[in-house]
Amino acid sequence: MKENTTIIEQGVIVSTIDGVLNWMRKSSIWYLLFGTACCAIELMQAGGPRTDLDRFGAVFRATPRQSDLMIVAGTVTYKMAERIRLLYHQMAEPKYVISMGSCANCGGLFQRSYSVLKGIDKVVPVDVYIAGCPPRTEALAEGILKIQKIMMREKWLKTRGTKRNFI
Amino acid sequence: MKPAEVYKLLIDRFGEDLILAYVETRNPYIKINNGYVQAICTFLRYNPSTKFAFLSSISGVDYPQRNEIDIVYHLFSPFLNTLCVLKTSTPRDLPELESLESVWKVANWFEREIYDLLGVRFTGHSNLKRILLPDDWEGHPLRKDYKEKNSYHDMETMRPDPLKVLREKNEKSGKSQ
Repeated sequence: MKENTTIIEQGVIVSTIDGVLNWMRKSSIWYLLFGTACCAIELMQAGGPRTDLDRFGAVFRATPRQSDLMIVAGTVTYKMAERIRLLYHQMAEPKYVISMGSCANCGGLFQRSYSVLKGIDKVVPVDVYIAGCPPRTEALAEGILKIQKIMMREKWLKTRGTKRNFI
Repeated sequence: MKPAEVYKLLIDRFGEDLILAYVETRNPYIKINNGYVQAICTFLRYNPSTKFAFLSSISGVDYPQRNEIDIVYHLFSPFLNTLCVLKTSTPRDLPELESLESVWKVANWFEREIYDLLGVRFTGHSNLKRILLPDDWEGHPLRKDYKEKNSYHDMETMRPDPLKVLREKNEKSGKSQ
C-alpha cells in the first residue's frame, strides 16, 4: 500500500478501500486443487518447503466455491475441457486463471493430436501464462506474484457488478 | 514352452485351417483364423502344458493397403514363464471378432479401447462402448484415413501457427521481419 499514511501515535492507518481490499485478496490467494497431467507434480512441489506457496498466502482448496485462482496444470483433452469450464463457472468472482506449461498454453507436445485441446484459453480466460515443459516451481511462484500484481491493479468500486472476464 | 512348441501343439489340436502360420522373427508370432479366437484362447489358457493365465495386452493395427485390421494378443504364463503372441486379421469394412471376455476378464477394457480407437466390434462383449474418448465422438481416430473435425462441441481443434500470425501482423504494419 504505497499511498498509505500512517499516524503512528494514534495507531491509525489511512488508505483507500480498493487498496485494502486488494491487499487482503492478494494475501490470501486460494487456488483450486486439481491437476490434469504431469505439471501437477511440479504444482505439488511448489506447495512443498522449498518454494512454499503458503508464504504468499496461497493454499489449496478442494472445492471451486472457495477458490480465487485456478491453476490449469497439464494437458487438457476435449473431454476434460468441458469439466474445467464447469469448474471455472462454479468459482465465485473475482477469479483468476493461470495456464501452467506448454500443454495448457497451446497444446504443446500434443498439438497434432486428435483429442487434445489446443490451449486452455479456448475455454476459459487466462490471466497469466507460464512457459515450460514443465515450468519450474520458481516460475510458478513468479506466476503467483504476477497474479498478485494484477490483483493490486483492480478497481473494485468502479467495476462492481461488471463481469471482468466474461466468456 | 517355446512359441514353436505352442504352434505344434495348436496344429495338432486344431489343424491347418484354424492355425494359419507360424512366423519366426525376433518376436515370433502365430497367425490364427479370425473366427475361432475364443476356442483357441480357451485351449491355451487351460491346457496344463501352456497355462497362459495372463493376458498382457490386446492391440490393433490398421493396414489400409491390405484393407484389414490386425489384432495382436500377447499372452503370458506366470507358471511356466513363457510368452506367446497371436495375430489375427479382420476386414476393415466390417471388423468383427469374438470377445475374449469369457476367457480373461481383463479383455473387457482392452476390447473397449480397440473399439474406441479402431472401430472393431467384439461380439459377446458385455459393455461395448467408448472407454477413452467422449461418448458422442465421431469416427475412430487411429484409423489411417481418419480426418480431424474442425470443432468438437464449441471448441476449435486448430490453433494458428504463431510465427505465421506474427509475420502477417508485421506485413500489415509494413515492417520487414
